[in-house]
Amino acid sequence: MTEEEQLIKALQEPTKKETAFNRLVSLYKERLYWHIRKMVLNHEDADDVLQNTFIKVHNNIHRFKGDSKLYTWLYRIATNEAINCINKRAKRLQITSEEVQNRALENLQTDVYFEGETIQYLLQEAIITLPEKQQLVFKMKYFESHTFEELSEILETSVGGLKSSYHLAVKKVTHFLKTHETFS
Amino acid sequence: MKKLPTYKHGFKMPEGYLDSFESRLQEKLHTEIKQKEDTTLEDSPKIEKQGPQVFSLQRIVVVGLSIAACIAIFFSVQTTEISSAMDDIAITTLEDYLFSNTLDFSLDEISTELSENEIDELLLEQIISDEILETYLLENINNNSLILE
Repeated sequence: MTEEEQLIKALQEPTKKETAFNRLVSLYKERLYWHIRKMVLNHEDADDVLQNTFIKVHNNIHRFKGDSKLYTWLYRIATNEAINCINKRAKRLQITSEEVQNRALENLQTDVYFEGETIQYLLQEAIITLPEKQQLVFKMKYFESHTFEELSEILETSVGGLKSSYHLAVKKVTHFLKTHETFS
Repeated sequence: MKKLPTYKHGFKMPEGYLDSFESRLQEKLHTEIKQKEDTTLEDSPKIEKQGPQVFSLQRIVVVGLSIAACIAIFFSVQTTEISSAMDDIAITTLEDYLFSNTLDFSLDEISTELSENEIDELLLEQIISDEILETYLLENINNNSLILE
């Protein structure tokens, strides 16, 4: 039995659940934090979403049937939670989710937890011009170096479709950077 | 396709954030569990008094459609009185609107928010006469959908 299978088994046994859950959190909190952070852009939201992700995992682990790898299941929950966070804010403020992202991007300029230079800011600016799916694929492939096979499992999309999304995203981002480049 | 140079994302996390994450998560988890328990405890007497809060599909459909019908008829009557320009709006259009995602809740949510007594009271309220309601339901509901349960 692999380590992951042992962890899942323990998570689904009431007497071992809490210890196994702590192990799970400690194993995945950092990876999931960065994944979420790149989607919601600011630390406070990323913290909220990460906590909600683990709470969902804690409450629904008995439903995990092992059809996919544990980490792809976790990424899927984290991704959905991050999208929900953006959509809920959009609904509350009665604006589009694109506008929410634009505002988050503007806030980056004064965010103490963003130390990117002009190019990093411009890259974020380019990313939010992409459709939601392309944004997700681009961020997960470019920053997190997931393989297309992993992405396919997480996003439940064909490898071919993902390759095409990523290709288009890179093209658009490159074009954006070239047309907006003012640095040397 | 020309390869895009690799840039770092530029984000950073507060110092010690991950070290304190577990304790904050446990706190939130316990609060949530406690809230759930409290809600369950508060709900218990109601359940005992009124019987199980389980609504059959048929009841949900009938109640949902009845509420929609009341609202639709109410609005259509109101619009006739208020503005002749609204005359062209068909009841089905209003129904579609009410059932569309523009509303924040589903039929299930409506029915679970209301107790059986409240639903009965709502239906018995004389906003719309029984005759109008009956006519509307007879004309607009496909009975086959209720048999499927």
